[in-house]
Amino acid sequence: MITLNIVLSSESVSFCNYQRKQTGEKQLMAFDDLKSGIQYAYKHNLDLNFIYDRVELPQEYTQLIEKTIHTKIIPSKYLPADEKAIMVFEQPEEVFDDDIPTVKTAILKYSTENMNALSKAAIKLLEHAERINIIKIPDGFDETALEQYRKQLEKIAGAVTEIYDKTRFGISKEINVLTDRLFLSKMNNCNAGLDHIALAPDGKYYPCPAFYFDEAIRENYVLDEHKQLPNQYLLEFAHAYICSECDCFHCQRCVYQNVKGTLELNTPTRIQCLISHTESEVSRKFRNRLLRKKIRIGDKIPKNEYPDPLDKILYANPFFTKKQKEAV
Amino acid sequence: MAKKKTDEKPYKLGTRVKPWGEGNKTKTITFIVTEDCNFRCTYCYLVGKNSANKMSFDIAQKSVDYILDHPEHFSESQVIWEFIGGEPFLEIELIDRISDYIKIESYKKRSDWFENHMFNFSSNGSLYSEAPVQAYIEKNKEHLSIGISIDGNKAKHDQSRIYADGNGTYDDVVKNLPLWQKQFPTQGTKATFGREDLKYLKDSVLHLWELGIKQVAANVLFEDVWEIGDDKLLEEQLKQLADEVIEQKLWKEYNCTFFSETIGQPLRKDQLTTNWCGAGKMLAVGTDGTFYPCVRFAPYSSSSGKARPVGNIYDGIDSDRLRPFLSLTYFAQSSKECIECEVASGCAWCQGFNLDAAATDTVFRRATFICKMHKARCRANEYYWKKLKAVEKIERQALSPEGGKR
Repeated sequence: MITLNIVLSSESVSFCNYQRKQTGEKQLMAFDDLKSGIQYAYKHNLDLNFIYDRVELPQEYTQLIEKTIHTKIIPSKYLPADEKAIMVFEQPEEVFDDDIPTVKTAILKYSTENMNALSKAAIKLLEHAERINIIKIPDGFDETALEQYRKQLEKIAGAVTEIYDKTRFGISKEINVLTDRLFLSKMNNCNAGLDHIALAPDGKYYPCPAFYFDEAIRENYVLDEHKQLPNQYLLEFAHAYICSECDCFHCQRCVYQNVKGTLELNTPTRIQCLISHTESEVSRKFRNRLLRKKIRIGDKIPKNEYPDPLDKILYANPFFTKKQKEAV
Repeated sequence: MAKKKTDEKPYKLGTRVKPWGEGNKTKTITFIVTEDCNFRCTYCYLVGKNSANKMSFDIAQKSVDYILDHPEHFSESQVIWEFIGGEPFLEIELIDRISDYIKIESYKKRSDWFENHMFNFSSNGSLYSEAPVQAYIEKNKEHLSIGISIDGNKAKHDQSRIYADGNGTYDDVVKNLPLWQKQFPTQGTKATFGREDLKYLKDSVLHLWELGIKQVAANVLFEDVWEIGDDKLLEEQLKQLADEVIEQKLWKEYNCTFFSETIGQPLRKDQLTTNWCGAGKMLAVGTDGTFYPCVRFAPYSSSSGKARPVGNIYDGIDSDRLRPFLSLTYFAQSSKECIECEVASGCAWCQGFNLDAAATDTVFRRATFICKMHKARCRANEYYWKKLKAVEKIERQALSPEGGKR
């Protein structure tokens, strides 16, 4: 394990594949829980991330946090601005507000409803951030939206191509869903529960904040005293048969979305696979576009005939008939 | 040397029974027509039996319509329409209506299934000779398969297969046997063994064969019921049975699934990406029109309350809920110990029971309560095959882990 994410309140910014679904009053993490979380991180040599909401913390919290080596994950327009922080834009529209500070890393979230603004927002954000993580809000994204998403990614790819062409020897812009795949030769996934865990405002540990923020399933995903789930093995890549047949190495393999869609930690929904495949395809074409401009970066991405690796598994199964394969 | 086909083998005992249809080309669709039963078998996994939940014809009709109108989910060229309970023959009139509707709609929609179908039943046999059941059999005999469960001799059967008042059912079932055997001469029976009736195993299997039932599908319970010494008793009973089989040369004509020519070998690498159970590749329809990957995932068969629907007749099949089942493999759900077991082949499980028994809500955890019983079965098989070779010079025609002859 590498990192401990400390979610400071029930209104902390949602920085990944989840939305806050909290009811009732705001819950600020108890100061003692914060202290014990920090102690746990130091004892186990973990990096610390603190996830903030828009409201300033009580002074004792701030004083304690500032004594640690950490990274802040903050909402957009959070003050004081911090260049080293990871800034989260929960909607593309937030990017067009005034006074966006310069940050090393920004997280840009989008939904099906505002996806048309994604490329403009990402391109604008590239002026202020070296790296952008584009994250989808889970809101019923279907295959109709997929084509729209691909077009948005291609626009972003076009803009990044221009940036690379201009800077040539000073390439520094990264976008997770576009450039990461070029530099990966094996799976590089979120690994919630394995590489990082989350301490939530209720004082309990979860594989990631998403499980805390989902009241319907929260109690089933509290980590035990060893900071593990009872079925911890299902978080591991070796037990994800569908994923083991895939080469979308940049995919997050979001276990929270897996559970929400298929009821199993190790099984992605079809749309998750199609989205990752679309991103991989755009990456492949992006690299080819750069090659035409005599810019060589990363490694070749093979063309993938199976957007959904489950199709590949079923097709390769000798027990399936030709008609069944055609149906797939 | 080429592998011999089953019908060319010098023995029957231990060979795999070829099911109707061509395996992967056949879809099994199970209608749970009733959750009621007139028996109260002690080992029944249907822990939620009740007389309230029955399928209506409207639900059945909508189910058939959905299935026939969505070939993208049902691309197999053959179908087994299965009717199950509880005891399915309690609802023979409903079943008759459903069957007629299936045939008519299959014809109207020009489905391959009009010709390539089988209606299948697993019955306790008590109502078999009733007039409505016989009328149904006569109407559908060209496309019909009916299995009756007889657990063995009277002592064994009446210990576990009982009426609600506790009385045994052997006499009421066996009196229907001649009619059943006349109508379905090659059909086998299913026998289940728990702790209390292991001592009857040898005599029970021999008894079933004496009744003329040449194919006995027998198994021990998957549940956590086994205690120290049970494996030794199972092994002893199977060895005694093996002795009788060889003594009387019963291996020529009779079969019992306790014996297998492929059991007790390490898993091949290609087997690791397959699954023992077909849950997810079949479809069960609940009394209310909910879809399940198998009847064992319906609420009335779950002791833990962990049902797993995969859609319903109104919204259709939820493909995402089906995905875990389509990607279930030996490797994904087995412990290292099971994967590396020297006698892993033939060790069975029920996917639905796995979910029931798992500490968390997952199908990716294999229950292994039968481990010692499986190993006992392997030892008994080893004994049998060695003795068969020594006495009759007949070799077991099984594949070695490398794919060649053993």
